[in-house]
Amino acid sequence: MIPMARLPRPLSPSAIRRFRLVSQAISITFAVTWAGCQSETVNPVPTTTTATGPSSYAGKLDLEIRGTADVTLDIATSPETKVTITTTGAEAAHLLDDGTKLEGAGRFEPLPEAGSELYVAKLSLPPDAAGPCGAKNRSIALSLHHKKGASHFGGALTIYCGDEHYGIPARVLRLSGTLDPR
Amino acid sequence: MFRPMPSPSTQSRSQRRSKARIVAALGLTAALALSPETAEAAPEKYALSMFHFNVQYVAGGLRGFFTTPSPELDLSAEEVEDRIVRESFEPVLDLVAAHPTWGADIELQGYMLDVLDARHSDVLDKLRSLGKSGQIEIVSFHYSDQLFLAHSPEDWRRSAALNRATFERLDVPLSGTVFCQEGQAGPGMAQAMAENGYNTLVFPKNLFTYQHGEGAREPLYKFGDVAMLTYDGVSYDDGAAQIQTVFWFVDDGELFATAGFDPYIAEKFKKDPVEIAKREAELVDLENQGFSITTVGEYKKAIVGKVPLAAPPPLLDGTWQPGSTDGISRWLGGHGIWWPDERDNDVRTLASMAHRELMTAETAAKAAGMDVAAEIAAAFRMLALGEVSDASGINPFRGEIEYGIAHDAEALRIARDVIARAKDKLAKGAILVDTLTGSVTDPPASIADPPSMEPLFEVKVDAGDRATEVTWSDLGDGVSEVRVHFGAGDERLVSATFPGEMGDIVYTPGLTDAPVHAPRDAWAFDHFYLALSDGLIGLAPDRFVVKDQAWVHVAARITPTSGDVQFEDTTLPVGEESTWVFRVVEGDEAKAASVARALNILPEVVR
Repeated sequence: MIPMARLPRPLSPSAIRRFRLVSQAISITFAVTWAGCQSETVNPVPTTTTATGPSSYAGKLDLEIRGTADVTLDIATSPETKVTITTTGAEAAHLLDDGTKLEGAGRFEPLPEAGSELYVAKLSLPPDAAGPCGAKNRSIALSLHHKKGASHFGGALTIYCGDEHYGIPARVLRLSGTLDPR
Repeated sequence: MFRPMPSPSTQSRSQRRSKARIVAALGLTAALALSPETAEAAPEKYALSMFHFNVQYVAGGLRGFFTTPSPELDLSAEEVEDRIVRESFEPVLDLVAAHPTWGADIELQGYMLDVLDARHSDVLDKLRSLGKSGQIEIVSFHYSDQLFLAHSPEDWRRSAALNRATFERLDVPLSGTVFCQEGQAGPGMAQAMAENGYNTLVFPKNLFTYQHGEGAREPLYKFGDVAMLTYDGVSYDDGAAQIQTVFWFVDDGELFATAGFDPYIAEKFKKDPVEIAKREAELVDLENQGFSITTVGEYKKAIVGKVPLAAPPPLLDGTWQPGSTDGISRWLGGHGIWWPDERDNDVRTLASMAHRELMTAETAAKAAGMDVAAEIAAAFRMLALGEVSDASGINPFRGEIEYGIAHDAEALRIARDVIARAKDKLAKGAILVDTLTGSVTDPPASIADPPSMEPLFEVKVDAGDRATEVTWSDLGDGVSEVRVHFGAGDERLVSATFPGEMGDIVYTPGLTDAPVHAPRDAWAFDHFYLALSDGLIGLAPDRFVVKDQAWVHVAARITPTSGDVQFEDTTLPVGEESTWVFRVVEGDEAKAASVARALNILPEVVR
């Protein structure tokens, strides 16, 4: 294991260019089990209930890096989860405009054999004729993964044109950041 | 996959390499022209190429690449894709089209055809026309530029099927030649190629050299039931046949027409007519010296029967620039330039979870009599995109990392949605799904924790300031579980080393489902990283370790001088804890393969 100085994120094209050249020169090659569902397992290891998770999560996630999504997952340890999301800066005009509020029922999907959990929801917005979906409804899927023991959440708001929450999406909007247990 | 950019004031590495190749070809030709013997023999001369295009070069687009927002540089995924097509791809097509006697190989993913179909139908028409005329061999082995050597063969099969269907739907001829994203290549590809209508693998020269050192290569190898060739030192002369072979371009196709600038450099990534003209002139010169500028397929046809079909030396799974990326480790635990944002293990384990869940969903739906083919296909497509190599290497920036996680999470959600509906239809609160046998039954009423056990051996753990704990559980029948817990800390670099014995390297190559033996002492390298698509690697003749890929999916480091196997991650996020889970199997390799399959490929799951 070779220590390496933490690298800053680039500030400008010229800065990043200089950094890349320096990087080239110095040759950067430096080289729980969750509990909550007693019956879920992957063969052959059983997973048992030993702890209880928080009842809800809330916070502001980054949306497509520069935008934000205010996310609330209520009653998060129940299979049924109430999901509220308000988005800004998705850069997805007429698909998910600034200030759009998404609200609906979701599900908490534990992956105990993987020390993980997934929060999902199938949401929808009415047609926006000016957008890529035209006269079709916008079906929006929340898929948010969380590894037990980590504060980081990562996933997507995926927008499909039509009434189904699958197919070739109009956009897959990246979500990442930290949600706080409530 | 970000690569360091060239200095604007000097030639790029790519330019220099390409020019060097052409100059070398010209020099070789000149030298041969001075030789009376050679002149009399009139050698056959072939000039070949492999343009590796990747429309996911900046997966997810450039938004967020620079800290300061900039309308000119914050390009969306579609904008980056469009520039790749117009600034770098179309000029190559135009160059070849302008010379009807020329041929070239262009490698791309099926997803790129969908991009062309959606927004660049005129370019698709050009590609189709050149493909049908035989001037361009269109090479494609995967729908998305995914790290297929690291994931289940089933994920690749679905991807390859979608890829072929995309070619057929868009009436684009698919070549039998194979070259892959990151130059991925390995012995398991032979059978996969034969079963899917491919016939010739272009094996990366640097991966060959990394494993066996410098030296001349045979012009053509037998590769299972198909053929393989590489592209350095492959000219041939047995007295009767003289065949001169040069590859004038093997690189990211995006760099050819843009003076070496790649799509990350948005302000410079533009078609450069002067540079294209220079290259065109060099190729005209090459052609004037008697070289046939042709395709790999035509070349192979020409040399079969004139050269021996040689047996290749043993080869391991790897990627095309192992010297600079330390093999495949750069995608599986190794860090790049944007180190603070990297989380390789999260990216790859999430994809593995999604794979398991999709297999479970498909099985559960079948038992419930549901037709979910369209959903499952869409989810596997999503997973193929999520498994894109650039989400964890070479130098992924945050947007690419999150592209992988976003697509993998959505694939996982679709799978879970199907499973929930299957349970409803079956009127079951819980089901036991065996994806190997296809059975869906009631789960056991209760499942006991496995008993703890004394360690069979010491697992050496390094984790800097992080507290660590290693625990063992007895799963019965000679199978134990080892959990390595890394507490929260600042150290990004963690590792776990399993002691092994000298002897054959035993692992399951990518795209296969059974372990193979490779000699431990047949290599030029001092260490090598294996992806382990089913997680399995041998520690001794009757002992194996298997990664539980939902917890740990980093590369395994092996050496010719020790049987030890080290798993290491240099991208564990600061402040986050992590647990790695492994199975240790005492028994023969068939038993170990069965454990690996049941864990990572075809699991039995209660949902």
